[in-house]
Amino acid sequence: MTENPLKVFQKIFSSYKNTTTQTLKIIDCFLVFQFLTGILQFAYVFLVGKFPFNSFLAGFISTVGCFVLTINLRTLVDPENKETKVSAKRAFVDFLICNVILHLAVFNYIG
Amino acid sequence: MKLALFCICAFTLLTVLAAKPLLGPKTAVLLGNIDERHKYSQFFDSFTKKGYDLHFLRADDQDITLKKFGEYLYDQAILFVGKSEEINVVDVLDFIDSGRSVIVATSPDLSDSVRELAIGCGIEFDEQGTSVIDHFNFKNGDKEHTSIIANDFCDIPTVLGDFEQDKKDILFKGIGMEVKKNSPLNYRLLVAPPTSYSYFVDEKITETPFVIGEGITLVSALQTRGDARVLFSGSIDMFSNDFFNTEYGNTLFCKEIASWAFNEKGFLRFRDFTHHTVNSQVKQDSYRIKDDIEFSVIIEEYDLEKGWKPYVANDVQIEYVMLSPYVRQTLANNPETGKFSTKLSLPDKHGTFKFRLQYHKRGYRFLEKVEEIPLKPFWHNQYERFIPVAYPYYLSAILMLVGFFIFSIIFLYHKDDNVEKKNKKAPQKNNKKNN
Repeated sequence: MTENPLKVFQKIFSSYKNTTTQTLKIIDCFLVFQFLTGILQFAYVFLVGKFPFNSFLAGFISTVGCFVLTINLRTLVDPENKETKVSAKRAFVDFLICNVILHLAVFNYIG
Repeated sequence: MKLALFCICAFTLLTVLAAKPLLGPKTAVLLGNIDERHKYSQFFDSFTKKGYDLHFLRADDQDITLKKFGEYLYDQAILFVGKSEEINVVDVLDFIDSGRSVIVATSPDLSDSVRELAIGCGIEFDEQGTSVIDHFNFKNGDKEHTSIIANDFCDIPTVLGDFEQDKKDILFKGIGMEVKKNSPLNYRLLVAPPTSYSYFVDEKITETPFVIGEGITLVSALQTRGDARVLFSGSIDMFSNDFFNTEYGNTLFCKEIASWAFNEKGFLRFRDFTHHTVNSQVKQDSYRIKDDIEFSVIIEEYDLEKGWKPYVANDVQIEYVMLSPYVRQTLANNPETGKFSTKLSLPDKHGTFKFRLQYHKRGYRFLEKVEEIPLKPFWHNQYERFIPVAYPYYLSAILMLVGFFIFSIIFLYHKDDNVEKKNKKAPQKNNKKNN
């Protein structure tokens, strides 16, 4: 508690910049983008109401589903991950196929 | 001179022929004593002038029937039965049920059959022998106080006709009746003054009279659901020449209510009950929810001289009903053609609906028509394709897809400098250790 909270945050940021690889940083950008879109949609449904509920669910699930799949990719691609032994190529192909299925479902349900 | 006379005769004949009673001209007039018909000559002549063909019959005659071999011999009837004459109640009620109008006038000497006829029409006369007595509103010179003066009329302008503008007191001498106040089919045309009561004349009052004050109805009418009109009066003298030739308003009052009773006023009919969607003119037998349709009906009123003329009113309504009305609108009237029309917006709920025209205006014939028109829901391709409210959701799904494409391209083809640096560093460390 002696340290300034702002200094703590700065320390987290600088250690993050130094220790993470660029690949992971790109994945993290994408994650943040998905998260924000999801939050915005939720706020919108709070304001406007649930009228085309299927459209809301489809939009929200698209963001949440992509978020989950991207986290999965990040876990498998992270070089500091020593438990799962899947090559980066295999991880990426899984990511690709799952995203295709997710978006197929989303566009059918969005009405 | 002769030509003028001929023209006048021809003209009067034509006017008599042009005036046509609705159901037909044949009228049965039942009197206790046929020789007394001159006593009511002014009243009967008013009918003859309008084209009615009066057949005078003796009320007591057992051979008199209104119906023979299933056919009605007369189109309307007048019953002046006040001297204990027995009438065939079943016959008369059957006549009324067939839609034919009757005017019934009686007196304190009424027979039980007349009481029975009245009860069959929702009216109860007082006991035989009683009269309506009023010690405050009676004609000058009347010692028994039974010739009373009444001026409490119903508020139905169609029934009163021209009398509505020219209201005068009515002289009445007869028996009182009781009509239920909230009956939808019975109208109390003339009510006794509040100071009157109905009891035996010259007898000491030992019990509460049957009806008193404003509970006594002197003249009442029944409009049946079969479009017949029955007029009941407790006094035959009210229609007599002696009472017409006084300064009271008996003449106009009796003539006007009798003409209403014989369907000369307020007798409506409707035709061309149609509806169609606003764009096409075709009448469909089912519509889709939220359709816009136009509805129209033509209503006509019978006039003695002109026949069926267009009806003018601003309170005819149409309802679209499924157990309860979802739409109820007043129809706009075109006075020249008698066409009542409006635009309706059908409700958002599908189901078995019906168009209902229910016009129950007091003094007019009841109009009722029900037509079942179901309402179908949207077809699956009749909904909106893209809902504007949902545009943010469409946008987010598209953004996710686009982001996924861009991300995968960047992920596959970027150069990871940090990894190379680490790889470069690691072998150096190893070298150092080895060294």
